Amino acid sequence: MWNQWEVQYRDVRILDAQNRLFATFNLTEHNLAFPEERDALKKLFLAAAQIVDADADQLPDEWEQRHFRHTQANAAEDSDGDGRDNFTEFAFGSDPQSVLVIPSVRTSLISVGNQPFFSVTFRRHAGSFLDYVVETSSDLQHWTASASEVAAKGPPRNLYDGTGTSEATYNLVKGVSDQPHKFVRVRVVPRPRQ
Amino acid sequence: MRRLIWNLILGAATSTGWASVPVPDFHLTDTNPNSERNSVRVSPRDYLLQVSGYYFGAAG
Repeated sequence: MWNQWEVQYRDVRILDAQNRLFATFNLTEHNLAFPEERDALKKLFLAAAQIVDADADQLPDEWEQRHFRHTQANAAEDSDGDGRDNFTEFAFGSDPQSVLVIPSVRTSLISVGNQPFFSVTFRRHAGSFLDYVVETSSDLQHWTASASEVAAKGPPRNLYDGTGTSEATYNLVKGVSDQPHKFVRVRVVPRPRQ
Repeated sequence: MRRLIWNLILGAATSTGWASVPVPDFHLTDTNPNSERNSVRVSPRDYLLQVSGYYFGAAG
């Protein structure tokens, strides 16, 4: 594998999202004991993670190429007619060209002590291209994203399945017996590009 | 000067064609006891659509 990758001793090889070599950083040449070297390595990773959306349509070009073989897809369009627009398909890691692979938001009741708590789990993209906001409401009219209402159950769990997605779980803070009804939704917001 | 070095490294990768195609795949068992994937066979393919880094710390 060293030969295949043509690496040198103490190389750090950084791959982009398509597993292409983005940069090489050799730790003999660049001593991580120095803050500026650590900062340089961090910047390389961040540069490799930069998502390209040349037409600013809220769909990364790589994602459009992979699913449509062009970059003219429309975020608001429902290409496969499954009731979910392309932006939603991208945000939840499903296939915009298949009615069989749709965005999935699973709900369940978990038990803490003797008390059942409502829980919601969904697949989300890794990285910082999107923000996922879990909101609650009592009347389907007024929605809030409050830590006193709903909390993440730890960091998202990387699925390591080559889809670039992880699984996030949020639990309502109050148990089912403490609130007769509550509605939960996941709102996805594109993060402003720098 | 440092920026020039990074550019040269990236330029070298591009000129060899590495930057345009995925690197050759491999599978290795994760032996890090602190890793959540400890004892699992891992591959760069597992990290598709994510950025990943690989450190080559021992001759092999």
